[in-house]
Amino acid sequence: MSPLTERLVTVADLPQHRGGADLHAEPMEISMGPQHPATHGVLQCKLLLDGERVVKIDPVVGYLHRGKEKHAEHMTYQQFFTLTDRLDYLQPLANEVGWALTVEKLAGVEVPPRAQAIRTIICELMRVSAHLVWAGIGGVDTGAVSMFMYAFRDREVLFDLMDDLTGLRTNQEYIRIGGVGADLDPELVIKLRQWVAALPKHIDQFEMLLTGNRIFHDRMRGVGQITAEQAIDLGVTGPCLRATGVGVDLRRARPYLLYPQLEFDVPVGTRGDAYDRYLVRIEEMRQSSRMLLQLLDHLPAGDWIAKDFKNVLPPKGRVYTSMEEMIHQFKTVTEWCPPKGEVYQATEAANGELGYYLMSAGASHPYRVKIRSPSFINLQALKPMALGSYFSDIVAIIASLHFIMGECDR
Amino acid sequence: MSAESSAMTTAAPQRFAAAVASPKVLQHTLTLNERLFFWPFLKALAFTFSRMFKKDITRRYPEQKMDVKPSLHGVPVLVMNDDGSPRCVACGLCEFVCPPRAIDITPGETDRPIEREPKEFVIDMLRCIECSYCEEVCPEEAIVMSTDYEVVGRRREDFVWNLTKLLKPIDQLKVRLDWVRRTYRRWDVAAEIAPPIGGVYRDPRWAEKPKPVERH
Repeated sequence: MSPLTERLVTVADLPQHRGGADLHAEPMEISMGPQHPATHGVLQCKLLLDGERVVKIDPVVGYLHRGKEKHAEHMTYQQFFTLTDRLDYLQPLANEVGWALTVEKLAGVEVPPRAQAIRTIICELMRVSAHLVWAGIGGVDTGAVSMFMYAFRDREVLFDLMDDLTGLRTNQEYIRIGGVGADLDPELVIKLRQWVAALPKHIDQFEMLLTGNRIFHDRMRGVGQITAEQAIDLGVTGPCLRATGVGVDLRRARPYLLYPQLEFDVPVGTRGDAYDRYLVRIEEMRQSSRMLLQLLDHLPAGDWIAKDFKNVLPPKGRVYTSMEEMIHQFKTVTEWCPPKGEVYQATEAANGELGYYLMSAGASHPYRVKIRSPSFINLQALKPMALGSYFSDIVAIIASLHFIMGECDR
Repeated sequence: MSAESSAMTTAAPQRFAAAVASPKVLQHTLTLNERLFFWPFLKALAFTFSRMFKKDITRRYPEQKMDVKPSLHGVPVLVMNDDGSPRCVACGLCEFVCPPRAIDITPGETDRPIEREPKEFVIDMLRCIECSYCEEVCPEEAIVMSTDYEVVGRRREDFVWNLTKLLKPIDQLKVRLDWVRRTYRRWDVAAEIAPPIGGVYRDPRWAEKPKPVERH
């Protein structure tokens, strides 16, 4: 017995005071979060532990609830773009594209090919950006701290390019109904192309650091395993579903934008564990860079916003000089009303199916908006994944699921 | 639109099947080399050390400022004419479009040809999200995003900017004004934008219009 333990032994520990010699362990209740660094935002997990084993897990959501769906009822269609940015804050522009597609589907706005190409480029850039954060933070969660620096290096350069394009590094309010806010300059196309061309090499570096790393492998392999049936039953979408072997990707299954014209593979895993989710996300980054090269090399010429006086703000130069355009300017901002109706439009966001269900009463603001957020639904898989696993595996499971609480709580 | 969606539903199962049919299956089992962990470990260490001799991607921010690009969204400011008057005509369109409702305009009348001007124009910079919607909708080019991206203050009142604080001379905003004209002309590439006359985009004949009669 070491001197330290000797000192800590008190009278109560003597056999006659212990009340029976058996060490009966009761399940211990632990609250993980909402300010735990590994829960990725403000998620609270109420855990019941039997030793190191998880017997019960209860995720508590709602700490980041900002009432976005309710806010939408009091905002014009264009104004709501600013709130969609803040859903999944790792890929703000992809959320905007989803909302724009929904509103355009309802109002029947034609989007010119160049705007569609720019939107597709942006969606893929945002997917890479979100997966980069995932790789960085997931690396930190599982002990590979240097990974964070390399992932954020690429993201930082992308942010600078986004700054060139939209004027803001994140939460860019760039997408407009009928197109995009500003044109993609030829200089910027060259810069983006350089960034994209360097990406596969950088992904090789990530893989060198993580894929063959035995510590990372042992930490992720077999952890948080679910079957394809379970995943489909729970409504899991995105990389988490594809990791179970179901190759469903909305870019293929229900194509939108320019995806039908692009060549890409849908990566799937085999086992549905945390390591497969990692492999799928890394491969998705490669496929995204492949798509981006195709798009940047064949960017269609033309307008970046629809030539549509009824739905789009008129050219500025005419607003200053002509009465008609001036009236259009005021009418489009204050009284732009799509027809009565209901639409649902889903896009493949970085975490899965991001859908907007929009109900319009023909007014200048939506009657009701429901956001089908992939993070919230993927979070439901936490329970079957975590039950029976070790307490420390929870961190790896949360890292591999990668839900964003801004989108989850809305 | 409805025809398109119905076509989508009928074609969906085929597309779904096509999507499932051609996935790329990923598998990775550790090799003996990776299992032993010695060489991969050394390789990763060497990679990390080699980074020390590479150029930095980040910049040392407070000392080294961000590159100011024309597309940058700083805080919104009001354009001041050469005679010190605001170009704004207090139409209230920016107040309407502002998603966080940061703008508050009190309109008033003026003897200048534009007849209306803001008596007070307040932007709460704590609410402002720098989305540039106000700039896009402004029919007078009166509110633009500046290059000022560092807004600091000690009290809440420091962030509530009034007319005197918001007005910036037109010379300081040239770059952004050019960018606005170029970008928001949209498809109308050939449209000539009238040069500023007395700081206002108006037909010169309008200046000769007699002063309106006194209103009661």
